Amino acid sequence: MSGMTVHILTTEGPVAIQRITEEDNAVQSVICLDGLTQILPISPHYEAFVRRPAGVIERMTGHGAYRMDVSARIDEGRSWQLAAFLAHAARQQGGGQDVTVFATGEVDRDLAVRRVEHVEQKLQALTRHLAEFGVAPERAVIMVPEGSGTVPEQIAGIPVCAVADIGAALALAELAPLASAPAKDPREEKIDAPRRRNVPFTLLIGAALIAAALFWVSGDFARWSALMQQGRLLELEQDLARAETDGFGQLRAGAYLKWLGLSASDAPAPALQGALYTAADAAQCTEPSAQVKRPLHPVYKDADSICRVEVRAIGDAATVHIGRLAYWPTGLGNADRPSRVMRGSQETSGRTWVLAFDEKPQPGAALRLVVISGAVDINGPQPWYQDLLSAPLSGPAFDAAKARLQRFGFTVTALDWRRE
Amino acid sequence: MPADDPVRELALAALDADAQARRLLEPGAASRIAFSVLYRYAVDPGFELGRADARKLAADPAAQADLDRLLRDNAFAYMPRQAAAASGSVERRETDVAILTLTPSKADPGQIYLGVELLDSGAIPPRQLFARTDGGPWLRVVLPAFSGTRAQLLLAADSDIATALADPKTEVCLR
Repeated sequence: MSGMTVHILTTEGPVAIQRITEEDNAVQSVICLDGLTQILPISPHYEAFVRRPAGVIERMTGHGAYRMDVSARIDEGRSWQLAAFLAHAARQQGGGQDVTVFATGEVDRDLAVRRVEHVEQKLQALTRHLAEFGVAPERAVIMVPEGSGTVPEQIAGIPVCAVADIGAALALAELAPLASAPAKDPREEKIDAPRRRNVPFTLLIGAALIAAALFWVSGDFARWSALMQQGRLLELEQDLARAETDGFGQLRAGAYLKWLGLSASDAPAPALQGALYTAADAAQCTEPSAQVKRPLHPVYKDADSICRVEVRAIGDAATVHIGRLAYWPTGLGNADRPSRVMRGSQETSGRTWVLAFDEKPQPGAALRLVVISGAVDINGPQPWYQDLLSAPLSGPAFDAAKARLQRFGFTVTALDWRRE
Repeated sequence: MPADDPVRELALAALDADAQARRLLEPGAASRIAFSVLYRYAVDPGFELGRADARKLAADPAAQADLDRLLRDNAFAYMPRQAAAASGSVERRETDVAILTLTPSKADPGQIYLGVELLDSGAIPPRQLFARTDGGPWLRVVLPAFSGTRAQLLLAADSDIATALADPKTEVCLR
């Protein structure tokens, strides 16, 4: 940052925010010590403070992952949030004015500044720091949450200001207000209101409503698109389900899914090629030369022992193929769970599953391969696999799980095999 | 089993005593790293291998094999070296229980994020990551506390562990 310098007030003295840098959205936001690889333990709180839906920084900047370097350790609490917010706002506004800010306070999702503990000790530590190092008081400000008790009017000539919300804090730091931040001074509204009565009132209201609706819809669209791009499908599904609980949310979610359907065609299904490696008996499975390679047909009727199975999913390079191969020694869905579930190895031309059977398939044993093809890899929990890997292909449970993925443009391809 | 389980401590002491007795009966035999030391190294993130023990381990294939077994047995996840056809650096490794990702830092090109994501939110998270390239010595990194199903570390991009994790010839154990 050039321009504004922001310090977090702590009981050990002020801690400077040295740098804020955008990181890849795939990583979690971190607070690091002085440019080192040391991630501070409060980083999960910073991640929550940054990333939507709860985080306020992504709401302001549109980006969901940052690294913030600080000059000394901060081990606990959330009182760093006010200073962090101001540092992000200054960065967003090109660095801000040449102002030094010392701040403590928690910021809630409505951008109100909440009270924090130990304000008195933090100000005492700041007093000691300023006595030693000094700061030009005319371009500095100390911010504490409103209602912090008795605080001095100034320390070393620097005014101590109580703030109730981010709007007030931005104004004190000489930063521009946020589009959605509370008005910084209610008196301005009182002064401006009568003048604007001359403009056609309904036109203004209409424009404001359209602007608000666009802002409101685009915010959700951006979040859902980001989740989709990151392959966080379950989170996206849950987020849409939450939105669909009210009428307007249902409209937004429906519009997003329609847009998704229009902007991306369904992924092409891969070609599946499989082979069984068999031997006269199980003991010969350890000898590669004794094994016979056979094409994988849906039903195996021979008496030979089955040593291993290989299946490849081959598709176009633009599509991501992921999937699971499940082994059911006693028949599809006849146990609580498959005895083996494999993810397969990723290769440039597709994905390959190789399963060497420890427990050789006996009559009735079954395999189910499910391949999900789409534009992105899917990350995070994937509960749909439970039905995709165990339910009959023509049954309602399989269809329902398949429909969950098709809704987002993914194609589901399944292959069944069993030993008669 | 608790970390200070007395039966286990007794068993480890017995193994050490047995190895010591055998060495006494073989004059001139090289001093070996105690099994209890290997065990603690494998299971206790707070335990550091001393220089002398590290040297003994590096010079003793049998001790390395013991450590290999200790790491693989009851590992939270084992990720074998990647297929021979794999080339370039590895950015992602996955098993049925965990996904490892390497993401270069935009803030500092000399640093790289190692992400560990567990696929079962109810699983007891691993505390250590071991990596070994091409049969070489195991490298260890202690994992930070998980936040939900995720933990993240920042590594120097040229550190031994980051270099190993980016190498397709590296096998990885989470414990």
